[in-house]
Amino acid sequence: MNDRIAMPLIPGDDAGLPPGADRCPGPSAQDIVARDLNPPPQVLRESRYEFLGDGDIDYRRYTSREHYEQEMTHIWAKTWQWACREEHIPQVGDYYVYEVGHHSVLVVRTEGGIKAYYNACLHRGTKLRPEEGMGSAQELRCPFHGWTWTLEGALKSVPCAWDFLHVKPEAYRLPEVRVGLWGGFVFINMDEDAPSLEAYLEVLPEHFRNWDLGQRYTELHLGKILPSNWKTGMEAFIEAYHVFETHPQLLRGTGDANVQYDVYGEHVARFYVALGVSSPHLEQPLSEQELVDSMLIGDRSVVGDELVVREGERARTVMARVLRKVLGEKYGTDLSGVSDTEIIDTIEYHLFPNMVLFPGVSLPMVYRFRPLKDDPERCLFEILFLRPLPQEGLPPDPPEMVLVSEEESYAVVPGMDPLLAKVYDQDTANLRAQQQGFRASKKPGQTLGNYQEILIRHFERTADRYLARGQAEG
Amino acid sequence: MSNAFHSVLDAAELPPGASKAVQIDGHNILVGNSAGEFFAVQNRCTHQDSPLEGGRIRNGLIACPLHGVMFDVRTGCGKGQMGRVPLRTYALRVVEGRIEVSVDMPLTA
Repeated sequence: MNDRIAMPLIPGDDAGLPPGADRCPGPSAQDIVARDLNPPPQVLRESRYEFLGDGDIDYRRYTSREHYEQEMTHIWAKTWQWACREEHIPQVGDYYVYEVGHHSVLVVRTEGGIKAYYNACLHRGTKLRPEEGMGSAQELRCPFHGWTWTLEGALKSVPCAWDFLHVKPEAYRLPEVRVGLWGGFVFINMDEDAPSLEAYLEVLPEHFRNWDLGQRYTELHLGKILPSNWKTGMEAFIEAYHVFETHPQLLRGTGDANVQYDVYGEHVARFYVALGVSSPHLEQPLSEQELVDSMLIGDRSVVGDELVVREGERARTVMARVLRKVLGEKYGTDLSGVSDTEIIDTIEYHLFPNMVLFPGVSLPMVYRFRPLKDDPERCLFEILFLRPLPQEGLPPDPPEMVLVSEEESYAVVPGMDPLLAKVYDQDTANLRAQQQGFRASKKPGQTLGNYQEILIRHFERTADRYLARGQAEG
Repeated sequence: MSNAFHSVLDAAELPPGASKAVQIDGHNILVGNSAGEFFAVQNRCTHQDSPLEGGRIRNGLIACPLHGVMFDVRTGCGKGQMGRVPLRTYALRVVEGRIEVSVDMPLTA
């Protein structure tokens, strides 16, 4: 513990503050970024915390099949979820199969724009496209008996049509799933009565006005099987409280206990981590040069030898300067107008139910957590790296997803930085233990920090609201 | 064993993403261009026997136009449950701007 930043070791003393009001002693994320040479945009200068209660979260919501089924009906069939990126389906006839639990949606690029259909033949139910992911076809032909639809969803041909006089083509259009586009992502929603995507996204479009993710391309796409419920998995990635114990190597260069957490509306929340500073947990704060030397970067291979802190400089200034140049050159893009914090820090937005977005430049990820088929205790965690579109020429085709099995390291993925892979591997080890602990525990639920784990509380509150609404509607 | 290559097409006739069926000694072969790299595979999907000609080629995979089954054009390996049986691949070379394909069985190592 840094003796210049006194922190009590045992909880319980509220020091006269209302719940949720206390913060890590020492400089806040806002204090740190306020001193940057190239200051943050306004959207990163605000903070929006709200105390949302301190009751325990029942473990059964992570283990019970019944709860899982409720989520399938009242969350997954009711919310907007990103199915794919627009670059996955660039030409007419390109499609992407998106699956969540038993739900399967076929997203298709047509002459008239992007459409989505329930991925099941209207004859006898066979999935029209049995494999998840990208593909391409000029018509949608069922592999079982050959019933065929146009890309626009009109019934085109039925073998032995004489046997189906009762099939009226107008009644056999492929049923559509709603589609919305934002930031280069294709969203779908199976609920015809849900609000528009724009309304659902709440503050996100405003916050991302200068972070147009439509101007990015998918450089890397991996999928990792996690031995946990999808919420268990996601909740490990929407708080930084675990950095201290799980990723001790990151304390040299991460403001972890002083991360800023913000909640907005029902669907959006974020956290904001200042890097290039010592953790408040470190007994001996690092020098600015040591901070530069120990900084985790998305891809260390891109960093040259300009990492020397000059007299009077902060580590953050050096890192921002170097990464602005190196990443700008590597991706053929101009980062001169991008602030230091957008270059080096972890800015992470959560969109309900399962999307996590990083608008920053050096760690440009998108996460997605999905239940796997019918198993409440396994999920698929996907990571995409979204890089800036080159100013000249075409970006490479979007890659197929590289699947990492439960026992494999993230390091098997080509292009994955080994230091980053180690961080993800550390997270995965905990998830198995936590999911099993849910069942082993005598205590029936998890206890959350009022501030550092507010995104979990916020997410679970919204999940509860969807479940309650669904149950009220019967 | 002979190593006879048959001249089939001008390389210039096949821009990236294009494919064309050719016949050599009774073999129905698809010659294509995957992002600048030429390939030759059997022109019959192993799923339900449809010609692959004209299928979208991307990321080194060709998608069967009929049901969308995808195959790696270098190895012939298919994706997913419908792609269990690989495509046969053929040796291909480009000589003075002409694509040449051999239908001889590859020598075992």
